[in-house]
Amino acid sequence: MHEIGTNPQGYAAPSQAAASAFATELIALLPRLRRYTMTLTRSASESEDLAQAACERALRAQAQWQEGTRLDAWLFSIARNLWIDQLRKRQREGASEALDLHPELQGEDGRQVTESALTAGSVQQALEEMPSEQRDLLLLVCVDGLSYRDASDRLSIPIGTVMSRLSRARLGLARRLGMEPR
Amino acid sequence: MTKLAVTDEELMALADGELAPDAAERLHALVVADPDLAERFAILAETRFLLEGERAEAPALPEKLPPAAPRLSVIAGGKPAAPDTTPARRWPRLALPLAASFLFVAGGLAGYLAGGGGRSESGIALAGFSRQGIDAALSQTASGAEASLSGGKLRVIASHKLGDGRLCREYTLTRAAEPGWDAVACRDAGNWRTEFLAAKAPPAPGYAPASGDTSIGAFLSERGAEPVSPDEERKLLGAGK
Repeated sequence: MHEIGTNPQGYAAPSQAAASAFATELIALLPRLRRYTMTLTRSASESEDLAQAACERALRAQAQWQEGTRLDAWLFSIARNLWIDQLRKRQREGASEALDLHPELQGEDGRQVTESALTAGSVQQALEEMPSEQRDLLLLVCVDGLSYRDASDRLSIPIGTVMSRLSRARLGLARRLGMEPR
Repeated sequence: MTKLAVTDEELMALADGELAPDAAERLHALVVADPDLAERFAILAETRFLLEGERAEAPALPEKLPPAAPRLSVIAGGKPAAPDTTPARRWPRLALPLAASFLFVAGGLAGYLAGGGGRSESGIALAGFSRQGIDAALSQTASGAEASLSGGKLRVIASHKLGDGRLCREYTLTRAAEPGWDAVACRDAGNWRTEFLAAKAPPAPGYAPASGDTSIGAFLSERGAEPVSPDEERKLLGAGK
């Protein structure tokens, strides 16, 4: 697991080639990251700020990313933690203005924040461990992009069943991947 | 302030863009006001985006299933820095009949939901417009023409006939200062049922949808819809069933 908030200077600096490859991979993930942050914030400006803050943090903490683990999972968890921390801060301080996503922040109250470090096959393995009815539905909706209605039609099950089964599957997947709420 | 009960299904539907925009905004307001709720929401959303990254390696779909339908339109997500080969998502999709918890407490929202999964049409409003006015306009307005509603306008784009013989009308709802809505209603036993409803993307710079009406096109295509000529449209509307 990676720990954000520790002094990045305590880690060896990545080589120039590694840094370049990291940046290239990060750039390739930007469209998906932006869609994720847009889903979280439902605001174009906050989404952009959050995506940028996540990228800045990822670049600064690059040495903490373990090669061979999924960069997308790491990046998403950075964005999620940033967002949640700022919502907590806003709630605590009663601030109503836009999210403050200053990249210097180290997690709420300076505590360490754990980011995801998923190996390349971990999602695949988690899928294989799931009941087939949950896995099929996950793939139909999350990979193939069917709407709940279309998945309901395709599997001949009520839409309410689609939603309850899919949410159980999503939470089960999150549990298997160690994405527990903090 | 009393905390409202929000189910995981509702949070997931919000994450997946399956809620009507107004319902989504109300639920999102609750989410951002409660970091614990926000974390559940974020995790549910994140699983989807992680799975998108699995596309190439995902296990094959069960053989009995026909090929998946293409995704329909894209979530507003900013200018991509690199080509994103991920198929687009509809934003939003159909409104859904959800558990009563959040929607009930939100008050008045149930009547706003479109379609009810195509099974019931008990609501009194759609996208904030009187359903009675919409139904009357759909029954009387020729394709290409516009009808005035209280607070906005309804323009019928085209009529289609489904494989099962039902008449469907593709139309838009517009209200001043709002991007408007694309919708499809199909007539079933004399009543119009909303079968598709999607908010048009706001014209924010850099956040344009990938395609405007592709989602409706795909929706109709999936249901074997055939275009209807003006003469046939007149007859079908006159038949009233």
